[in-house]
Amino acid sequence: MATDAAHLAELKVDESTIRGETRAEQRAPAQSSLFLSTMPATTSDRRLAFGFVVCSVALFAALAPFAQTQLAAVPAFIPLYQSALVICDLLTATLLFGQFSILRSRAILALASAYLFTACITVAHTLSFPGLFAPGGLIGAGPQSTAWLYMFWHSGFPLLVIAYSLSKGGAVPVAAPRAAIAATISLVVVCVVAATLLATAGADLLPPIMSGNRYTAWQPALMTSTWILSGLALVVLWRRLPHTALDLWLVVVLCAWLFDIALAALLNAGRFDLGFYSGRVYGVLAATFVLVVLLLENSTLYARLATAHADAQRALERHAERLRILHEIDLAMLSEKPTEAIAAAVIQPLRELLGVSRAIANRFHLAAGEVEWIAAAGRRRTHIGPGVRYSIRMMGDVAALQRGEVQVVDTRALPPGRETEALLASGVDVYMVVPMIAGGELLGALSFGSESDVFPPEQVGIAREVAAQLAIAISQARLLEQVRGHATQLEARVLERTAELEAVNKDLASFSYSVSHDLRAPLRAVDGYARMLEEDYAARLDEEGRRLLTVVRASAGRMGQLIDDLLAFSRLSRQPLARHPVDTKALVEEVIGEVRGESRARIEVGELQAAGGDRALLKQVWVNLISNALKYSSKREAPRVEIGSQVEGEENVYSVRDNGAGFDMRYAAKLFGVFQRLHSQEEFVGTGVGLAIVQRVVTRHGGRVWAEGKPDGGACFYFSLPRAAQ
Amino acid sequence: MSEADHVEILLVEDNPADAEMTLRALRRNNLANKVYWVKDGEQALEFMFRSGAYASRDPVSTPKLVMLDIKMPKIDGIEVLRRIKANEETRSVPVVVMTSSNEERDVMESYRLGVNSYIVKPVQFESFLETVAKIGLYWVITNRVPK
Repeated sequence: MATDAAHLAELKVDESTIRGETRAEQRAPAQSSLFLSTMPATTSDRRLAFGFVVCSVALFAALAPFAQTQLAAVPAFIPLYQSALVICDLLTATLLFGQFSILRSRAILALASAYLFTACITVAHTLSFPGLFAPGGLIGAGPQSTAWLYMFWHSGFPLLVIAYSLSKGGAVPVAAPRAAIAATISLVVVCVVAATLLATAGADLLPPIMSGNRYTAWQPALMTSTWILSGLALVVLWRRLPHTALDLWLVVVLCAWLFDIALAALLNAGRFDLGFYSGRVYGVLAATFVLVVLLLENSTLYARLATAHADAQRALERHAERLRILHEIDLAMLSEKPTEAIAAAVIQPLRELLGVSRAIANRFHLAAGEVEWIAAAGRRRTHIGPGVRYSIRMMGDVAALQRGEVQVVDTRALPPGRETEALLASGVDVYMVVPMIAGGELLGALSFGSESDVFPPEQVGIAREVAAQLAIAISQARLLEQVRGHATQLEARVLERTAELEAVNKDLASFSYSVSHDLRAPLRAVDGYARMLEEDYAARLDEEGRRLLTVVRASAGRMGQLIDDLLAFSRLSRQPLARHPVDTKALVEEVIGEVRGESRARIEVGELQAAGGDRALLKQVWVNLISNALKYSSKREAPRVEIGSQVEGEENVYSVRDNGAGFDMRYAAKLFGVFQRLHSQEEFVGTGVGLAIVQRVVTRHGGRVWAEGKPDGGACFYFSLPRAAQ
Repeated sequence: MSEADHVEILLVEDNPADAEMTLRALRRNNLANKVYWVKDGEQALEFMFRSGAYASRDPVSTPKLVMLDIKMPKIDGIEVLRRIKANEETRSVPVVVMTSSNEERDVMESYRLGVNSYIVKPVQFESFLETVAKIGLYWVITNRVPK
């Protein structure tokens, strides 16, 4: 086990190294590797260029001794050769102008102008060549014109190459490339026209080079300086480091150029000898090198463009697939699907997106040290868990996973076992474990792998995103389960309590039933038998005997009343409450009519707010309060009862005031208790249940009840009912 | 001819005190001669359906009134009422429930089963006498039953 751990630690991949690893193939190609003019010269480029130079030198060495060998004059060679030059140079110039318009480098502009200059002056040279279009040449050419144009041509190009070399490092791009190109073309044309005018109309100002088809004494000196100029251009070009691929090919061009001049103007003796012809072959080669390389470069660029486009397309598709998977998880989460269903829907597309042979969504049971498959996808089928469990050791370093670090596990280094064999059999040599963390808790992991031990950052990024989503899904499913569990528990508890309450209520009901039946019967017997005694034995009883019998009967009657009141009171709490609007005024008038009897009291009914509640129960409240008021004021000379109500905030407060016996506020708390009385039976008859009934009814309606009074100073009873209940 | 024949009032009452007071009230109104008193629901049913001790009772003579208590041992008054009203032969016999119970559910159940009257026995003796006398007079003298 210790060795396993060590191995895993060794294999552990730090996230930063995965992110930090930049792979040239994967990056978007930078401009420096796109263009010949910016691409650094590779070793193979150098070898090829060197080969060309060596061949040129060898050929030159072989030809140089025979340079002056006179060959047949083929005038058609001149236009053929010159046309090829013009076309090659124009094409090269065009391609270079094209590059300039993208790169905006002054150096490229200088080189483009070099080729344009060459093309233009070659045209002038051709037109002036004696015997081609006219015996003495066109454009008013004299005998020296063609040779001087050759001089200008062969010194103009190296000069512009020097300009190119010197402006190579210039970092400031040209602001308006189109205008720069137009200006450059104009300038080149003006220069060529000026040179042509000088070589034709102004030929007399220049020293003579040609005498017929042969050179004069001036020629070697002039030609040597031209040659030296070309050499200088080569040196300057060579010294400007670093060498780009274009530089390298320009070196080859300049070498060919040097051999061209050497053969065709220095070592030879005049027109149409071996030097003349072979030098011009070098010239054509020189003109074509850069063109060919530029054209090759163009096709390479096209190929790259196509690849880049395809890559972009693929990246876009992968991105879309990635979004689709994440979206699918989101939808599954919103639909409250179980975690298994979410994982099942996601795992196969995820595996394809990751491009691995196997992908598994695992749930952790950290306490048990186990991992459970939620879903697993292989190349051929998808397995939906749960059920498969294996050791958590397969997930690598759990502590690191808890910190959010990914793990890379080498299957071949795992201890042999069923899971290990299965992984190896499905081609998983190495796999990555990406933790699923939600709310700081490690819930599971995504593991995926194949033969390759390379896990590109994009792949890891996708896996991390999906893992984060799945973690949220798992924790959400778990919360939902908990909430449902709590709800079920709560429901069960409510049912249990309800059952208990129902049982208690039933007990209470049967109790009061027994009371109502069983307590009355003996009472009736007591009263009945006392009465029978009175009837049958009246003659044998004296006054005192009859008085005693009266007390027995009165007590029995009072007990009967107590039982009735008590039953009425107990029924109050069991009876369901019916809530309807109640016209309090009408109710009070009705009650007064019923309880007034022979009372002398003056009853004043003030304003009474309508109420909401059980009319029958509220009637009992009024019956008790009003009959109490009448009873306790009955001994007054002018008994008076005032009934009214007023709105106080969210409540209606009703009051019944009398000018009767009143009570001591010290005993106010006892007023509403069952069987509590503040007056003796001799003073005022009663059972002490009435106000208890009032309190019970009012409380059940969500109201309050209270009273004010003083001994012999009257009393006022209040009760409130919530207005909302209306 | 046994005592159980030619009965006009069947008194079903388990409480002897209540029974005595009832009989006293009926006697005052000369109705006591034809009262037959049974002490529980079982006896009441045997009497009504001529079984057990009453198997030989004259089938022609049917009581003019059954005064029925509710809370009794063995078979309670509600069950007796149900059986009397469920039987074709006995259905027409007027049954007055006389009970101490003032429970609404007893009242409702009795009326559902077809009771002819439901009386809560007053605790006060005078009221009790008066009530019993009224019932006896009404059902036995005033009321006419099918022949």
